[in-house]
Amino acid sequence: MACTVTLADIVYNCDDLGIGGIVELHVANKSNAIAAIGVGNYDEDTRVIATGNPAAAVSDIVSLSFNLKDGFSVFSEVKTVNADGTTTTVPTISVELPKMDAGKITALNQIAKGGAELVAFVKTAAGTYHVSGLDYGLYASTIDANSGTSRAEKNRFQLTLTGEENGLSYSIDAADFATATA
Amino acid sequence: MAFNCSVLLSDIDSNCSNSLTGGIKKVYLGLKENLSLTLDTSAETVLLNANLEDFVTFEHNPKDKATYFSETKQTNLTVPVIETEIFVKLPAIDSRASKVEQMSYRSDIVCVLMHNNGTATISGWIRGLDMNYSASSGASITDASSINVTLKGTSWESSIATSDQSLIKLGTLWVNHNEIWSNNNINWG
Repeated sequence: MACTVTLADIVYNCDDLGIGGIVELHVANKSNAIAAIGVGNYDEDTRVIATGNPAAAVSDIVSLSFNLKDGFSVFSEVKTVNADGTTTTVPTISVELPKMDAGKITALNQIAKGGAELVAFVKTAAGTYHVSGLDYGLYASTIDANSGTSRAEKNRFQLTLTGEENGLSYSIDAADFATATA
Repeated sequence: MAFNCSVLLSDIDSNCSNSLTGGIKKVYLGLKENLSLTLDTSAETVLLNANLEDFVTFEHNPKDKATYFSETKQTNLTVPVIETEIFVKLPAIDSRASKVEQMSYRSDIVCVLMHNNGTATISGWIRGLDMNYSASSGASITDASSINVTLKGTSWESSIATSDQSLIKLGTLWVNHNEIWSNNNINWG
């Protein structure tokens, strides 16, 4: 049985900052993201986008801004390997968007459509860059709007993007991330 | 095809790098008369090249957990019978229901499927596939309105499968994870 997996050292470095939180979230349609990055420029096995891609900004990419100290916004992904050989990776991106104003109602209602295939570009507070959804696309699974019941509570939206991917999110260079999301 | 009864056995390896991911990514239909195949004559059903000249796309939600391909082979007293069934869930009943009804008169349909695990299959290449459908409005707003298309065929040869999707040419498009949808006109002869 040819099931020898590739193993590599993982070195602990106390200079690695494990600061939690995300600092940037950009969302694009999957077809536009793939068109910009280019088929063949991202490796499904190593989960890395080749350096220099994309060469230009992803068409119609949008930026979702949020309070970096909201204690809510997060990017997570869980890869599960089953004994029968099947695997699944579920990414989840949640962001809190303050104030249920008209512009956000329109934007969020349009992003949350059945069958949507989205790709998220995420920069974390630890300085890592991720592209999630390139395999099958993410979709807006929930939009939770809440006025709060008192002035101590928030009037906000909470958007959750999720999906099912072949593996963990793709890594992208900082410079390429900046190009993609420009 | 010359008579040949020297069946060869060969290794079937397991490789944990092979994707087991289920599901169908793209569905293309055409007529048998528009399909040309080049097969390896020594192995008979090893695909070297395929071209489906006129084709249409049936777009489905790849996450619908409904669209699938299945095939079974039963051999009884040396007679092999292979049943192929392809189910495609088309979202929402609309004018497309009438188009599907028209298409379902044909029984010489071939179906090219791009699977999520990188495999491509060509079904109906020997005897064609029959098309049936059911449409359901759903009973409440949480139910899906859908047209459920079923393609069925019985043959003595299985669907052709290849792990190299670039061997299949659809019209003027080479399809290889390029996410391009064809706008070809429907030509059902």
